[in-house]
Amino acid sequence: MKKLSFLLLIFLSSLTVIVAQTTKSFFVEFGGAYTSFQDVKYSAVGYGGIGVAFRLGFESNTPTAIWGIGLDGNYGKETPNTHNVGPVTTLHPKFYGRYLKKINDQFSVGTHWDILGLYFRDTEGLDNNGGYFITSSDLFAAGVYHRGKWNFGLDLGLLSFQKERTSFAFSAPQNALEDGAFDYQNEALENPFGFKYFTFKPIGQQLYLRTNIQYQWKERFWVGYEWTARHFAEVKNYPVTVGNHRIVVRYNFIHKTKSTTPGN
Amino acid sequence: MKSLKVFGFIAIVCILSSCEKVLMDAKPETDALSIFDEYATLVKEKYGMLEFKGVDIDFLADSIRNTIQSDLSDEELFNKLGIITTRLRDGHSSLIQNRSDQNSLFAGFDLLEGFPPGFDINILVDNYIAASLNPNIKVLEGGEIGFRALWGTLNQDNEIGYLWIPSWNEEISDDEIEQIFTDLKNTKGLIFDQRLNGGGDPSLATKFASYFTDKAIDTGFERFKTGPGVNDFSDSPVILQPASSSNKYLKEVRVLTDRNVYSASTTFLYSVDPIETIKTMGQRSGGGSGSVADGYLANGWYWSLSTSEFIDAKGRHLDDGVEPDIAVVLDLDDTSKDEVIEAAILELQ
Repeated sequence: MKKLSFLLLIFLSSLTVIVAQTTKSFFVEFGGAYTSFQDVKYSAVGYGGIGVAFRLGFESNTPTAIWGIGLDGNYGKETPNTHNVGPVTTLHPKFYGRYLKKINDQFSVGTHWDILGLYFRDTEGLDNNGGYFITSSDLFAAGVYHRGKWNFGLDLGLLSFQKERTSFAFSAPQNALEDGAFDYQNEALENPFGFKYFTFKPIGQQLYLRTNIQYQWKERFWVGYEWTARHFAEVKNYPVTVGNHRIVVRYNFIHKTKSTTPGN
Repeated sequence: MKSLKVFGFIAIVCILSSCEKVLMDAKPETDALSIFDEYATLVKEKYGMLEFKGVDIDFLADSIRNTIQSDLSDEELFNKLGIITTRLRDGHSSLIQNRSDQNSLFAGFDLLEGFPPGFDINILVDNYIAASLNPNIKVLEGGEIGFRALWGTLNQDNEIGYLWIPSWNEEISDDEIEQIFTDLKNTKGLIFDQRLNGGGDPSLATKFASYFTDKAIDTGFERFKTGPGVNDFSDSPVILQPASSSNKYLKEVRVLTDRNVYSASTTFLYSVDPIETIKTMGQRSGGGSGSVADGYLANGWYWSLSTSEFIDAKGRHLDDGVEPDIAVVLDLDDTSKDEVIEAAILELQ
């Protein structure tokens, strides 16, 4: 009887390992976004408006870690909050990757890396200041809390490598002007991916936050809400703030789950 | 304890959501005094040439501010802001009530005022470049006025090249530029007509300028406003690098100017000014040496301001224009010739 009990105990304890699963998903997300913006260098007028949000990605959820890569973005229109002149078209695509280690059944912590992103604005009716961009690569500390069909995520920006097109008074990067590097034969000034004028922005020099809430509605369908806020100042006391709220539906068009056995 | 952590985490997520507005400055007011203060502050903090233009912005703003009443009409308020704009005497600096309405209220500087015409397109066409008259003229078609560049040789002396760029606000490809200079390569001198060219893309103007030198040239420096303080400026030395083309034009060149020569055309002028084989002829140029920022006030009025100025290798402030090396007056009563072109031909012969 003791032997039988021992074997039963071994079986039951191994059962929790046997039922551990690895899920791999290729997914597409589509939904709506509300975006907002303010650049105090030029005006305290805030901009806001709605648009579409999309994401195409891959995610692997193993018993020990979550990792994924993808491309996401927003496209929208914004209007100023004090007048009706100069609507703005916004576009914000980016490539990302993320890796989170599961520290227990409910918490995962790790990093999220927006490998390369371009936040672009085109303001109708303006000339030199009509086009605005922030090109950046951003590293976040990431945490996820899992509870049943819910995931709650929080990403905190640790370090950005970025370039803002406009300076205090002209459409060229602030550091290029302060360094006396401006001339019209310098093509790197205008090029969003001219890395020469990128600067590092560690936490403390900017606030970059992202939260998200996901709910698994059906096996292949998720719904989610995500909020992102970015706040920094290339010129002291003249900050730029960018906000983004998105509500999306995720469809896992490939969704494979397999059991993981000990030793695997 | 565990539940506390869980709810704490969820609470953080929920609290942080939707609150980027907390990070933003307060929405600005749009009453008359607020709009006036916003514009006066923009000019004070961003305009790059207050000292050169002799404008005491604090004194000027204070003197106008006392007259701002809350019951001013839009037009009355606009005119009060426009006093500041016009006092800058700067064609790049303007205030427009509604940019999409051609009849909108406008405040700015008329750089042609007080100057006689230095260019007549009918005289040019009828005597020098009409296709029926001169088969040696080529054009790059397209653009706002039907062509983007015109070049060839003149009947008056077919060894002298002629090139007219009517605007820098056009796309001209590297291949097209190369074709122009290939065609002009064997002339003994070149008339580069810049008259009527009010500017556009300074990069394009600089690209053309780079064809006139085979070595790097110190052309001066551009002084940018980099912060709100009175002394927040930074100088960018500007070195013109030669084009990599084998068709650079290193012979004598006469650049024709009139009062319309402005903005990116001034960029071209200061870029080639140190080159010994190049001289300017015609009328005082318009200037406009600063780079320009623009935006909207909180009530939607459009503003533009020069936020830098260019000081050339001779130490000259260029924003009010410069006198040509050789002054020539156009006689509008004599439509049989363009005195400026004729003088340039004589110079190059």
